[in-house]
Amino acid sequence: MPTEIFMPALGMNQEFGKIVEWLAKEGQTVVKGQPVLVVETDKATVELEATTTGKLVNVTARDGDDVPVGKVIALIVNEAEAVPLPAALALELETPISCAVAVQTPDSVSSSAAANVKLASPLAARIAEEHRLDLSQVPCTGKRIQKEDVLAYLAKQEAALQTQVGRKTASPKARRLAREHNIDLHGLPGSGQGGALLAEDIIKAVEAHANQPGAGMASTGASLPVMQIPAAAPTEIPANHMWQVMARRMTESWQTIPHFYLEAEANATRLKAWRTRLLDRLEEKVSLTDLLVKLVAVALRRHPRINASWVDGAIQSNPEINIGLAVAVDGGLMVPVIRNADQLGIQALGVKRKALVTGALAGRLPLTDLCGGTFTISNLGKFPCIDNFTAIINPPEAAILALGRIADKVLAVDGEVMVQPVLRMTLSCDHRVIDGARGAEFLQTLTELIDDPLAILE
Amino acid sequence: MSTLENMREITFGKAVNEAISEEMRRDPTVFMIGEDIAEAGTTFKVLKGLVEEFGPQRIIDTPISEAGFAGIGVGAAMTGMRPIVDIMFGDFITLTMDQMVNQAAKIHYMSGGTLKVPMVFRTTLGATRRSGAQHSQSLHAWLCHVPGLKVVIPSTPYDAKGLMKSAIRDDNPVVIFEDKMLFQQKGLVPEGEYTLPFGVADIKRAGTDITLVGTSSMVQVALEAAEILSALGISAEVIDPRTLKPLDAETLIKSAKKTSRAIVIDEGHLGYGVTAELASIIADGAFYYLDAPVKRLGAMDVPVPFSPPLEDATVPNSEQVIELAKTLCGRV
Repeated sequence: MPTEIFMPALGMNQEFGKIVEWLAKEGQTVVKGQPVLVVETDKATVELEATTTGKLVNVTARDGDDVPVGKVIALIVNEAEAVPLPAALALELETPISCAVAVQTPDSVSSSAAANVKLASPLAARIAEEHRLDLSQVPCTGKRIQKEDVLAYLAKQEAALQTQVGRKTASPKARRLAREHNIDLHGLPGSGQGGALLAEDIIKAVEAHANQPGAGMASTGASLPVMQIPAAAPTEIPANHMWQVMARRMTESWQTIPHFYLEAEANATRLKAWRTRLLDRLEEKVSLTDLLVKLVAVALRRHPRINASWVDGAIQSNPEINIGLAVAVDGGLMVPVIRNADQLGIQALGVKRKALVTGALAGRLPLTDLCGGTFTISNLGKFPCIDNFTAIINPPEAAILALGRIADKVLAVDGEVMVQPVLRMTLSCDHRVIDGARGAEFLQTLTELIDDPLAILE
Repeated sequence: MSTLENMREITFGKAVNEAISEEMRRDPTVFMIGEDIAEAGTTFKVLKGLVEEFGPQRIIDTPISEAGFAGIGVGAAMTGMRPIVDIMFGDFITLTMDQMVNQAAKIHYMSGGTLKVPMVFRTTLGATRRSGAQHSQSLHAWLCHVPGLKVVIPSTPYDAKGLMKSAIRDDNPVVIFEDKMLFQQKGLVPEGEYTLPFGVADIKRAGTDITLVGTSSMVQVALEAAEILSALGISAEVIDPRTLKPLDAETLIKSAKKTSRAIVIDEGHLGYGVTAELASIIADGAFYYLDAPVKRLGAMDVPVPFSPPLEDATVPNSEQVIELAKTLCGRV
């Protein structure tokens, strides 16, 4: 039996996966455990391994294709097995060997003395008869004409008919929609039977068209004179899958979550001192971010309402404190998650964070490290010009904390003017889960913890 | 109109019985004629109690003579009565065809409108009762092919009562096909007076992804399929035309335009059947809105077998509807 390779579902609600690259080529022998292709999903780039040893055949998707989850994209067959190619494909790939056909009558058998005369199987002969096919026209690939040969010939005839007619197969609805939106059917990928275009294919094409800058003008432009200003054509920056996902999620968050913002600043003197001491004491280098993750985790434990989600009209308190860190990577944004951050020691936190950030930058994080976040921290503190900013909530979480830089500021401390390091931050809250007072209480706790990190022991 | 308060649950057979009783009380020109309808109350006991109330002059038992009593019916209708001619099995319309097709259906037209034939032919359809090839056919398509006849095909007790009353009051010959497998089916029916108009389809279940047009007992098959499809995330709309002539084409087309896909299910033979007509009407009216070919399910084009497993296999079932719907929705 051939083993199917199909597009895996690596995340919830994932509908498509993109084939980044085939690592093994069609016809190549692959060994169980050998990476066969690289797939990019909403969350991560993953290598798919061969689950068995055999020959890679029937590759139906190319590099760069978006493939629906669950679709079979290739087969691995035992070398001894016949390759179960679809009939039409088989014809394209193999040069058909024409062979003479003796119709099974006593006359012709006796009259055709030539040794290379081949026969048709009874089933093949019956199918041919039903379709009024002349068997001598059917190329055969084996000793005698088999059912597969006849079916392949029929498929080829059908395909030829379509080419002859020069008409792309499309449902009537798809055709109407294409006409209404002035879209050319040719070249569009069809998702229906035999690649027929369906309505949703056209709708996708329309949407893709609408997303192009400047689109929409053309279709509404009717007969109004448009002033032509000569200008360089805008360059389209290709947005990869990850960027598309970010765009979609952020739009959804911005449009559906009622955001409000609470700003605070904390005296970071003791925080910085803490880090200096830890750098001396610990083998692993820890960053200010690690310390802040720890403090945030402690604050979340004291304010479980912030560590919650709005699900189907109800507030759902999340049992784990899983803190996501927004990381800018080459293709966009990734949010690796530190699970149970409240239960990790500082050193373990630092090790985990480093591993996650390195993995994210390399684009090779397993999906489990990208799921299940309950709160996100976005830190732009490394930019000396960013005092403070606001972030968009990462659903289904209820809040996100934006951290600016730590900068020296003039403060009034105990009646004296002092210059001290200050961290400014903004908490974005989902007002369906968190109200102003609850958000402020959390931020108050966090500020106090930063002011005096020892308070985590309380 | 009916309210929920006066609704009761009664069988399809009882609903038909009520419709006829009420109309016979209301109009003294209404009478019934047929085989085994008086003391026996028909083979299916649907007319039980009628002869006791209305007497043998209005519930008339005949010998086995379908062509004869159908002719009596046509003559009575032409001369001012409102007969209900009871044809025990739909298969027996082979014997009444001349009266139905060449007489009842033509007289109003051929007399230049001076004569009318206000009568009802009441008969059955449907297989799976183990009655053999001569008592199990669904031949309603034959009569849909004849201008001048109205063809009514109820699927629920509520529809059966309302449509029967309308049929009796109609001034044209009306043929009502009741599925013999539906007589025991129960449903809510209001007590007392109501009629249902001809040519108005009923949306038995609303949906958005695919239209299932069912007739008679196939409405139930479509509803079962719709229930399972909904669990698969496919929202099916189930439409019952209720009357095939006149036909509410508008509702069928409107639904198919909305869902972009349609399956027509009828228990008559598939070839040249009711499904072909309805599918053609939908394909024509909704062409530019269809995302898949309109599909049909009907009885196999074979005589209905006597063997129960074979008989069952000839009739469309909900599994077939589900498979086909999944295919049309691109879900296989």
